[in-house]
Amino acid sequence: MENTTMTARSASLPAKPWTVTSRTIVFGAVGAALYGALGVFSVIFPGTANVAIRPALAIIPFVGIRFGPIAGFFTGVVGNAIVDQIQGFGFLTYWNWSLANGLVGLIAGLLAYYTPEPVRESRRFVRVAVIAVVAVIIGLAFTVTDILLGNAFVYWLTAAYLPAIASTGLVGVILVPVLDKAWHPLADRVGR
Amino acid sequence: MMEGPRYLAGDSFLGRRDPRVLILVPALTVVTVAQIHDLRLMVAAVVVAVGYYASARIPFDAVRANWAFVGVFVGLLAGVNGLIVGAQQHGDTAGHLFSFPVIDIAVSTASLSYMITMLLRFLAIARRLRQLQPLVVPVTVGAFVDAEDVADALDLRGFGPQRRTSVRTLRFDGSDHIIVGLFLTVAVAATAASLSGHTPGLWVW
Repeated sequence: MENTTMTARSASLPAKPWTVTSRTIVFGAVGAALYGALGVFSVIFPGTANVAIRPALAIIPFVGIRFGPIAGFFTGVVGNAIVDQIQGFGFLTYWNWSLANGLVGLIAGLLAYYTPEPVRESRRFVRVAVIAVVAVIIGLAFTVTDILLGNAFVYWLTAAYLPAIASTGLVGVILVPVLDKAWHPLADRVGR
Repeated sequence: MMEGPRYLAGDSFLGRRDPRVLILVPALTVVTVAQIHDLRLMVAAVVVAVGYYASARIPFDAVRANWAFVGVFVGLLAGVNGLIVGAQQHGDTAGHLFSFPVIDIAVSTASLSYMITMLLRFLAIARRLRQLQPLVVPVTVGAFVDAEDVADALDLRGFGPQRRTSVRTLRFDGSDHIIVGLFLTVAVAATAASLSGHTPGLWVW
């Protein structure tokens, strides 16, 4: 059982967190395209700074955890910019939020790389959920750069950051373990 | 079986250009047109773009599906969204329509368009929100299973971040320099005008 687990993990993740292989490129690109397409299904919270709950956001930490920090970063940065463009905000209008989404994937990938994967499924479930939430809290903190763009700190904190980590954290807790659980047997079955 | 857009290497003026020209020109065009708000300049840009495209002499039958996709995508998503959201961005010039009699709240074209935007978004999203989990999980996992095959195919063909060799040496000829130079000049001029505040404002007629 442990061998199977390690096989799936070691085959998905690169040997080192910063290694860029063809897998990193493909999974980053596929993740960005998926997030860009599925991220359109989102609901903006009234009264916030255009903070939206996007179920597809779970793809970012999932890609980071399973395919490495570089793939996760690319998925977050490009995917968020695509969603913003499709929704009419503009590709780079909220560039700092795109970078923050990228950092969510990057941090999730690093945390997954440096924390051992438990054998028991329930613990694996908890590990993935905790990684997703921690990555969201740290990664989205980069949006504090809203202050440099003219927003007040209190406005950023109450109308942007806190609603964002609440909605994204919720999505992370619910969907990332489900995605990981669905991916795990498939990775085992095809010997990856 | 995956099907992607095909590269149609025709024997035309554009088909004989250095491949880097085909990448640089669209990129410079995006930089330029993103900074244009004047309808007359937009028409000029469209004429240049159509002329550039026509110089490739691509038969329409070969790209009919691509044009249909672009038409639907641009028309439905960018067009409708641009009309509605664009009305918000120019809300200062929005006309006052009427006021609610008792509560005395003014309704303008900007607030009306904002309301329609939100209504359209919430109608579409609310209907699908409950169906998202069974959609997101299989689509995501299925896509990554297929991505494994793509990654394997790339590895087998020697693609990757490592240094590659090539049997075809790319050379910029005079026409390539002229085309890229023209588009680069326009892009730089548009950027300089935008940064210095000399870009013509919104002009419709």
